[in-house]
Amino acid sequence: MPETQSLSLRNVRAGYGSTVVLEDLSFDLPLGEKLSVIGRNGVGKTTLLATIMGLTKLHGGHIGLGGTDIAALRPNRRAHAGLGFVPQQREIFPSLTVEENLLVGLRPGAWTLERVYDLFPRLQQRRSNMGNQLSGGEQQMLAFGRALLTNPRVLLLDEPFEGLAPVIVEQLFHALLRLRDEDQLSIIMVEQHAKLALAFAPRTMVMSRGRIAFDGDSRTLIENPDRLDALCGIGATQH
Amino acid sequence: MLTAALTIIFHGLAFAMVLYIVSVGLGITMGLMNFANLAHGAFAAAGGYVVVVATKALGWPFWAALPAAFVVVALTGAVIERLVVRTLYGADELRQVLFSIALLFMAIAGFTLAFGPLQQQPEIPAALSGQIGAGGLEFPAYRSFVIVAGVLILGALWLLIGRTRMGMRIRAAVDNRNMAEAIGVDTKLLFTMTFALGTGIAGLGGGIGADVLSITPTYGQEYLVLFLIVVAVGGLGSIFGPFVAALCIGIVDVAGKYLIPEFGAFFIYGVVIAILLAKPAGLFGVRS
Repeated sequence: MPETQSLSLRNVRAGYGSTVVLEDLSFDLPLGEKLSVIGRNGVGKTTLLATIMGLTKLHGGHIGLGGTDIAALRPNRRAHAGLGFVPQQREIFPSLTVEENLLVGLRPGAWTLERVYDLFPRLQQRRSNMGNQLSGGEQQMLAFGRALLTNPRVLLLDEPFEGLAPVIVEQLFHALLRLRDEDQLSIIMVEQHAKLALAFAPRTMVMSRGRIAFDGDSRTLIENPDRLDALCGIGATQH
Repeated sequence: MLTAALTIIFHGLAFAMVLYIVSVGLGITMGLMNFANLAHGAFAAAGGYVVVVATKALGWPFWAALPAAFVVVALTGAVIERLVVRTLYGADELRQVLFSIALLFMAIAGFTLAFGPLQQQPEIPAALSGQIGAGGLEFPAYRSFVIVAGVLILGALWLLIGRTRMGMRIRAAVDNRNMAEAIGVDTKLLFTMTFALGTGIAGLGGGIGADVLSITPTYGQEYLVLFLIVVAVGGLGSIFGPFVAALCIGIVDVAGKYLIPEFGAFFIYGVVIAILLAKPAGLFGVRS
């Protein structure tokens, strides 16, 4: 795999136990590229991120990160290799304070505690609160910050706006756009809100039944709502 | 009346501290690894025997024997975790219980073979052999030392778990093992280190508490229920919970036996049932 590819999947088959969810999936994510992944419920979007992170059973294929095959590595080694993960349920550590949640996975790099507090000033105000004392939006900011402080090369975001009030979604999306424009981080964002997903990344992948149904320029889908509806279901353009 | 109350509290505290030192490691390992280690008391007994051998057969000073008990038992715990316990993470409770009970009975047989069936007492330094006076009352020096040691170990564990990176990682892994792994925490190594720490502290507890809970081959079996009660009432994965639970149980037990001995262990189990009905996850537990 060329060094310019930060992440590369080749013929990946994966799932849970003997159940295969992802079928023969292949794609490359070049260094610094941002990719949105959309699709109907249950098509394997979350499984894709979990598989990259090593949290599912890999039945076949290769996963490369920066030229190294990471398919056989445990999740903690993948994190050290450069993967950062923001899971769908946020999974904040409740018995750690906000600041401890941020520092527990800290690795040296461009992202520092000060930089995360600059991106999410609310976290600095809540630094001494316990992880389980936060609102949904604050928890999502904390999950972002925790992943950023591992100083990853590739950030995996699983439905970061799920269950949040519109005003919070707007704040978080603004922070994500700042991250997109100011940082060389590669990002894969799985998202149900098609509008947000298409607005976030110049490249979008649509998944269907564990396979890639579309992988290309986001503008193609923005300019062709009928195709987006056909790929993601009627009403996708309304989200 | 006041003298009786102070005597009950003093002896209750000494008993509580031994229960705490031995049990706290069990609470941490059960909270972190979800592994029901019914052989935990055998590690405490092993620590007691290390102190006995070191002070009597080898002639070591008592103060050198105590750290030796911690180190020997912690290393033994690490080896057992790597070889066997690791294969049982995520296994059903019956397998875990059968394994740890088997380990306990093997330890009992091994201790009997090596040291005989009778109780063993370590060589206590002269400074801890007498009485110390306070407020016109006399208290056994050794038990005073046990109380101080219990408080010091609570403080040390609080610093380790609450103020260090390793402690932060242990708490994170207790909360959510997969997520801890996903941010780069090597939970396998953390489990080995924590199991070693937990068993090492139990070994230290066995050595320190030999005067309160006698070291016999059946130590781990005899006091198992008490250790489990401390953990269940205090809460899994907590440092302070088992301390408070041990205080309640130690003082209630001593008071019950002193004031109304005919009721036996009625009060201690009554308190346990009441607490667990009100708080099924224990006083400070992360989960039940």
